[in-house]
Amino acid sequence: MLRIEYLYALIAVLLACTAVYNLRERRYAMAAFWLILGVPFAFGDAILAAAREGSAWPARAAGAGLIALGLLAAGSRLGGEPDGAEAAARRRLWADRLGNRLFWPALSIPLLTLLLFFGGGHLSWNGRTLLDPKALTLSALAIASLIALAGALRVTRAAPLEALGEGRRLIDALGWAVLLPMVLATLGGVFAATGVGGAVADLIGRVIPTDNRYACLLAFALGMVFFTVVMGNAFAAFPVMMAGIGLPLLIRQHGADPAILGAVGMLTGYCGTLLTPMAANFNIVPAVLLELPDQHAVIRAQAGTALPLMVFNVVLMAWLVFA
Amino acid sequence: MTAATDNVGLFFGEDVFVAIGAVLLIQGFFARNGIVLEPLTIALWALPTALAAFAIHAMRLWLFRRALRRGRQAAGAADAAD
Repeated sequence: MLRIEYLYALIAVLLACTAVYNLRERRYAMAAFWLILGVPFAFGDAILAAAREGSAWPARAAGAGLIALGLLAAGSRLGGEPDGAEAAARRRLWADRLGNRLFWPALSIPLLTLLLFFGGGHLSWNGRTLLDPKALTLSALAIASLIALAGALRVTRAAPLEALGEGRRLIDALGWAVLLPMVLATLGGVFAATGVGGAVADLIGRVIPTDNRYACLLAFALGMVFFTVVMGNAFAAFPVMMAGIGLPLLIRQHGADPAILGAVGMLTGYCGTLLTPMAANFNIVPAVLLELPDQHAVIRAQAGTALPLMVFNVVLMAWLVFA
Repeated sequence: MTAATDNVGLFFGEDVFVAIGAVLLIQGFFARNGIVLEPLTIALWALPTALAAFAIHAMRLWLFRRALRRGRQAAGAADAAD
């Protein structure tokens, strides 16, 4: 069986290669960042197994690594090198030559993922299933990406090593933001372990009638928007609101559907992203680049979409999550 | 303003498309609290909102275009009167 750990190992290899590229260019902080991040991808299973057998040091080392990642991200300017004029011209040339054929490999990723997700459970070889049934979506996504990569190499006739170099460029450009989903999901675990959720739920109970499920839902939705506006990021608002209201009140007490609440709740937070100058890269930078006289012009233009959409989301959740 | 609205549409497509990161954050959060979900079910529930976002924004763009066209016609009429 193709276990999900093999795919994690593949990510570890990509991260290690990115680190080597950076090391050769003497960008030591970047190299260290990707190298440390690669370790749990490579040895995650071994770390968990060691923790089960009672030796805590590998897990503690991973925790120390995570803190080191935070320090590296905070202390040094991580980020990709901008393209030289020569590279940009070369890319332009290739784009003109290949035209819309360039899009096929990228578009095939979601399509193949869906196909593999629905068909992959039935694929088997000598009576063993090919895909990891515990991580079907991720396995499907990884295999679809690999197939798309092969397709892209065929379409562009680029050397495989070039894929590695471009992958590195992309990872460097994303920088520490790639960590955000992983670390914030873990924050949910930390909240659960330390009882933050219960404490927030207690506080909420003093302000709103928690017996009323619609009052809880409204508090959750508005809280997602408010925290997103304050922090500039729906990802950061999600663990806070989920641990405080979503999980203890809506899911545990009122039996809300976690999948719907999570998905639509996150998108309600996105409505907040449309409204906040804190999300500067989306909302302020374009206004500045377009040389608009009012740097909040983009937000003003977005509000007319964000507010009706927020109302739609709340109605959608009220209708669906308690069904 | 046209550029800004165009920009909104672009940004919105990016924003509402549930990037795998958001889905994995939701799934990971629930998994650490003992609720096991398949990421694809989460992604599927993002579809209604994506469609609504498209509908709302498409309608606003349509109204915006109509307003622009009216403005141009009014300007044209004013020119003709001169």
